[in-house]
Amino acid sequence: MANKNYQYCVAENWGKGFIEHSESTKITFSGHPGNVWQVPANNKFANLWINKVLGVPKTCAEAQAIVDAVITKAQSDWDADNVDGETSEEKDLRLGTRPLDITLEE
Amino acid sequence: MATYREINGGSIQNRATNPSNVKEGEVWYNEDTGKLRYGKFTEGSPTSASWATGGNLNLGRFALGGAGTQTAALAFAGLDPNYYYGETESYNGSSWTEVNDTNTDRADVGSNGTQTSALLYGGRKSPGGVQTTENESWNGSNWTEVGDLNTARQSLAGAGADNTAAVAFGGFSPAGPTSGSHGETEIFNGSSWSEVADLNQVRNDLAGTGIYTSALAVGGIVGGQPPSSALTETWNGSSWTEVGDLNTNRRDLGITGSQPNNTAAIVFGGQIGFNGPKTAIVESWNGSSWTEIVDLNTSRYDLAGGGTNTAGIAFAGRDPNPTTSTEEFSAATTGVDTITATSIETS
Repeated sequence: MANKNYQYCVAENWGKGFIEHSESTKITFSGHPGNVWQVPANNKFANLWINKVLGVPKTCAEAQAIVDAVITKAQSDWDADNVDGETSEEKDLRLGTRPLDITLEE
Repeated sequence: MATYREINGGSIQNRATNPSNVKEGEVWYNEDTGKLRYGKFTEGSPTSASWATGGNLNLGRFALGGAGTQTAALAFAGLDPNYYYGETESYNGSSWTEVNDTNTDRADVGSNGTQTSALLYGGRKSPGGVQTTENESWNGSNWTEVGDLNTARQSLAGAGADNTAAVAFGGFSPAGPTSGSHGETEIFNGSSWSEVADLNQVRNDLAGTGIYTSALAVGGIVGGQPPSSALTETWNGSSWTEVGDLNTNRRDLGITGSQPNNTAAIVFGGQIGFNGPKTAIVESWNGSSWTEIVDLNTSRYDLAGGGTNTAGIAFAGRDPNPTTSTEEFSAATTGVDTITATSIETS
């Protein structure tokens, strides 16, 4: 079985203390839409942090589905938000560009 | 009995020297010393830069203004994405508190200053997202309208130590006699703005830091056309000079510098290309070149920042939805943990 580089969990960022400097210097965090957090796999500091924040472990596929749901909703909202006579450039200026898909890594 | 290879999935590597980037638990054979070594976790050594979470804003938004320091910051105005805000929040190093609103709700603004002395200028406002010249001054308690910019524009940048002196530059206006990207540079003297020079490259959605006589203009979209830019220009109080480019071109990035000059700064986040992915990449400016350092914990763009290049703060933005998240930057932390190469003792 191939080694995984990352593990995923869902945890709500409560603010101060959610990620400490002492944790950030040991492992790399990557936050994604839907309160999905990516941290290194097979790493005791990552495991300690997940326990601290009461993270709910997710497989990569499960995490991907959560992220996809948020992005799909944002894309649908963007697609549906139109003003009569507005050019694509004007829409980009008004709303920002259309949200892009995010692909999580194993 | 299982072999090491069967347990670990690989054999121990022979290395001429210890690896430079040791991982905790990593094992190797040092051919030079003839000893097995492993990565050992050790308490109490200096380490490099990091980002930690700070208190969450009360209102998620992007394209807002920011001022102040890591322990005394101010967030104001912004967007969500069809509603323009005037909400102002004050940060004490751990939590944000709502204070008095701006007079005009708006987004994609220029801003500078401190938690008790800030300026908010330009941007776009409701109805219709029309560009504005309006300028407001914050005295720690209230926003007061003061002298307007000469050129209405959104997505501009600014620099200045407080509400008595500032420089505003760049921006965009989609219609009218001054439509397109702007290079106009205006200086504020505490009561009125004067146009004094132009950026070398007209652009919008850029970042700025410094003071009115020594500022930095970074990234953005040149001429309103894709892709985004890596360009950096320094301001000496009378003219702009092109200097070293960012490693990663981007728009709608955050920035904080080391006042009172343009010789030290960090940029963070942003959107790569014109409509590319959001990024967590952070780069540090030493007065002549940019170096990539530790990433934000959450990639985002259209965010705001404050503080210095060694103790910065990033807040709000879009990921792609409006976020309340705050992150605090520390350039070097002492008394924390590191991993070192250590000999394995054998009996």
